[in-house]
Amino acid sequence: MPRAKHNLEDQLAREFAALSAALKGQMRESPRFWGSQPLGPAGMCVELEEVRRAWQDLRRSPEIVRDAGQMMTPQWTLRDLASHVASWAREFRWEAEVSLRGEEVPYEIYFDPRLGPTEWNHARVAERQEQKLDDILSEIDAETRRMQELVLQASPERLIAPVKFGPVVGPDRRPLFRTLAELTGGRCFHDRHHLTRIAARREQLRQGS
Amino acid sequence: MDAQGPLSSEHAVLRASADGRVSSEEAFDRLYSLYAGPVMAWLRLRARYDAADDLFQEVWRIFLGRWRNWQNSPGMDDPDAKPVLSFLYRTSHFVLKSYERKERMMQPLEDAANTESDPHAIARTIDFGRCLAMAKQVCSHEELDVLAAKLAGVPAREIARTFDLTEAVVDHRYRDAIARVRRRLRIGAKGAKREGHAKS
Repeated sequence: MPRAKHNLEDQLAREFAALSAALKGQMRESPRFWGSQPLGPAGMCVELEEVRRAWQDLRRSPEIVRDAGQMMTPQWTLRDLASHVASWAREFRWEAEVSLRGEEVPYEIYFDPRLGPTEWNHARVAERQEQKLDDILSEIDAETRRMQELVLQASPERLIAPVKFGPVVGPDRRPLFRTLAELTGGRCFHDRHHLTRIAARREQLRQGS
Repeated sequence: MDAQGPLSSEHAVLRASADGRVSSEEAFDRLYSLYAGPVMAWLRLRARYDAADDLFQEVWRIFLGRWRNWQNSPGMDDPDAKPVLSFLYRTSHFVLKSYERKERMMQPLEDAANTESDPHAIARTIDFGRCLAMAKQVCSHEELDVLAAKLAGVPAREIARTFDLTEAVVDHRYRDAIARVRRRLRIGAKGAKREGHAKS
């Protein structure tokens, strides 16, 4: 590499280090004492990004093709479980779009108080029966990115305004009101829950049980 | 402990925290001490001077939330992995993205051109050093994102992942940024030479 090129890169590195040191000198108090604030759009995007990366890591992991057909729960294979997460990722994103338009979701997803939305879950997994695991994981990735874009578009008021979403609970079909922030948090929680189960089950499989 | 002490790298801090040799709070403060400067430098390079402080606080608040549930990744034995620096970098990316959205929405209310020609705003860029100030002036946001990350030591793999690019494209953007700065510095040097001749 020519010497002049090195010189400029070295000079930029020195200037960046000097700037960082000067700015660091101005910082006093640890952020631990700043007090907490609810997550804003950027924080929600970071949360979504963490689960997106976890799915990417799963997609790139060794033996993913072999594990696609392995049972992760008593009723679902890895491919089925990914289908389940993809269907909710799509649903969360769709409901977020409706919420951003200031509208209500025009249908209901019945949640049994004990068992959850089993009928809806099984129907959505069945819809993806012919798809490959890689395509389903790609759907999760794309839906997560779309969700990030939606969160970034939302005004601060819209993020915390409760909206009636699709799920209804119990025999009296009680509607659920959620904010977009809660919807995003719920999406991440749901993904993490299944990612943890998948990791534990794959570890069991790796050890031969 | 001083900057050269045993907790002077992210790897050492994470290891000490995982082994229980330092408390979670102390480890966090060590990481803040290591990375407050580079994070603020990124934000100063990319955002308006008066916005950088708020963005900085947002980045560190998000990281603090994350740190409370931090789980070391399997690759933590690699001293070059820098998962905290990488997290701070992608957090800064989203914080800047959110800020830019808001700025665009506010555009009709503010005259952006006035901000650029504000003599005080220009004077403040003196902090940067000549080459860095030139980079801020001539590089695109995409190039600046890559250049600043490289200068702070963010692994190329992480930069690529943050922007959904390949490492080859990251390298290309970095080289483009360097070439652009060099070209402008040469033009500046020739201009100064001509001016010097004219004066004499």
